[in-house]
Amino acid sequence: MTPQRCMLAGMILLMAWVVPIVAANAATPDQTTRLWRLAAQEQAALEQRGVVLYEASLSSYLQTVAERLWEQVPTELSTPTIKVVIDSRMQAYAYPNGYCFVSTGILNRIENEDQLAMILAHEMVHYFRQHTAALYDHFQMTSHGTGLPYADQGQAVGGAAMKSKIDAAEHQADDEGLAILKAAGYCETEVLSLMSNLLNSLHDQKASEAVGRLEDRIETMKARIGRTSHRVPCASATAGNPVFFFNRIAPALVANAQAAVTCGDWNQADQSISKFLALKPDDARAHYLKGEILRRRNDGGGNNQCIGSYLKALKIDPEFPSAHRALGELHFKAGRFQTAKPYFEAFLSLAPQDNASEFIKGYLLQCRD
Amino acid sequence: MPGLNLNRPVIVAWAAATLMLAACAGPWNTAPVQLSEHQWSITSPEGWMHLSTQESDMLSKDGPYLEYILIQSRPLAQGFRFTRQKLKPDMLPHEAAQLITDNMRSDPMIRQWRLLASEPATVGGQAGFRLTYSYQDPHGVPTKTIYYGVIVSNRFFNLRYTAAQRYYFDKELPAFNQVFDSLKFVVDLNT
Repeated sequence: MTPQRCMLAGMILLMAWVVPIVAANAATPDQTTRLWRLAAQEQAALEQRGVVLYEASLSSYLQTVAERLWEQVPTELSTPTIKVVIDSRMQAYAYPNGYCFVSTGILNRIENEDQLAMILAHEMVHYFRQHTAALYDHFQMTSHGTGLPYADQGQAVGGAAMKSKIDAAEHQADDEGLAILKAAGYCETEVLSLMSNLLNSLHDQKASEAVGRLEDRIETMKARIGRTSHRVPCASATAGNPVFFFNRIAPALVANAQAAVTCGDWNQADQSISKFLALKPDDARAHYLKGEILRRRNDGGGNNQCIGSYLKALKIDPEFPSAHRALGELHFKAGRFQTAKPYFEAFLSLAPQDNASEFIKGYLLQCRD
Repeated sequence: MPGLNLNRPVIVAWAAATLMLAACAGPWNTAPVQLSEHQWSITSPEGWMHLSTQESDMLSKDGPYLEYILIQSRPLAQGFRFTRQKLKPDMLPHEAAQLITDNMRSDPMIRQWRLLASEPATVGGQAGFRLTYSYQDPHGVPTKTIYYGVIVSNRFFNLRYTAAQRYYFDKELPAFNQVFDSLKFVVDLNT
C-alpha cells in the first residue's frame, strides 16, 4: 500500500463509528481531488479482496434507509452509496466521495431499523461535513510544518491535536446524526440501546480504549436525548417488528458467521448463525456453518451436535458438498473408514474442483486400504 | 550485453536488497552448509545468507524483499496473528491448511491475496500440505509463496519460500526445492 493510501485508510478508520474525527478547514480542491482518488483506490482494493457483500435485496434496503435520511440533509451532494463489507469487526465508515461502508460485524449487533438509521446518519454527517478532507488537510499541514518523515506520521495521527479534532467530529456526527434521525421519523431512544449493545460487544472484545470513548459519547447522547422536549413519534417500518429488519439483513448475518469462523470468533459466529437460522430454518448452508462452529470451536461434546447440523444441511440439500466432506472427515478421524467413504465419494462427485479435493482423494484411498 | 541483462527495476531492487543486507549485517551470516535446530535439519543453498531468530530461521540470497526461505517450528498452542483458531494434534492436513489460509484471509492489510493451490504433500516423511499463494507486498510488489506445513505431535512445522513473482521466484525455486528435499526431522517428533 502506498503511504498516501495507508494514511487515508488510517484516517477513514479513525472516523469509524465505534473506534473513532474533524470539522473546520476544508481541504483545497487539489487535495480533495487527490483524496477522492485515494478513496477510489481503497474501495477498489476492498473489491479486489472480495470482501464487499453483493446481495441485491440487502443493498436495496440499506439504500432505501439512506435515502430517507438523506432527504433531511440540506445539501446538493449526491446521496451516499451504502455498501457492506464482510468483516466481523464492528465498523462503519464514510469515504469523502460518498461511499459508506458498514461491516457485517456491526449489522450483527443492530436490533432494528432505527438503530441502523443512526449508524447511517452518523456516517452521512462525516460525508456531508467532509470530515476526512478536513482531517487530511490538518494532517498535511501538521506533517509539513513539523517536517516529520512519513514513518512518524502515525504519531501525529494519534497526537493530542488530532485526537481533539477527531472527538469534535464524532460529537458533531452524533449531534447532527441524531437530528437527521429524528427528522426522518426514527426513534431516538433506540440510539441508547444501540450504543449499549456496541459497548457490551467492545467489553467482550476487551477493546478498552474504544470502550472509554464510547462511554463518553453515550453520556453526551443521554444528555441530548434527555433534554429533548418534543419527542417525534416513531414511524419506522420496523418499530415493534424486528423480524422485518432481520429478514432484510439476513444475508449479512450468514456472511458474518462465515467471517467470524474464519477469524476464530466462535461466539460471534454462533450468534450470527443462530439469528439467521431463527429466520430461515431451511437453509442448508446455515446448518452447515452451525456444524462447523460446533466442530471447530472444540468446546467438548460438540461432535455429536455438529453431526446433527451437518445431517440437517443434507436433509435440506442432499447435494451440499461441504456437509458431505465434513461428515466424511469426522468419521475418518474416528477410524470409521467405511462410514466416511460414501461421504468423501459424494463430495468428490459434487465438488471435484474444490481446494480440498486432492486431500479427500488421499483420505479416500486410505479408506479403501 | 550478455551477463548484464538485468533491467532497471531489477537493478534497483538488487541495490535495495544489498543495502538491506548490509544494514542487517549484524544478525545475517553466511548460511552453514547444514542448518539444523533441535528437531530438523536442511542443507542450505550455496552462497545464501542466514538469519536466526527465536521464532524461525531465514535464508536469503538477494535480500528478504526479493526472496527468502523461512523455516519455523512452533508449539500448537501458540496463537496466530489474525485468527483465534488453534491447531490441534488430530487435525487432518487439509484442516491445518484451511486454518493457515484463514489466518491469511483475515489479515486486513494483505493485498490481492489469492490461493493458487492447496495440495497434500509429504513433508520430511510426514503427511502435510503445500499451499501456493500470491499477494502484493506492502510496497505493491507482486509476490508468490510456496508454503509447506505439517503437524507433528504437539508442534507445527512450516517451511516456506517467498519471492517477488517477477524474475526472482522462478530463479531461486530450484534452490528452494533442494532445501525442501533435504529436510529431515532429526529426532522423532512423535516422542
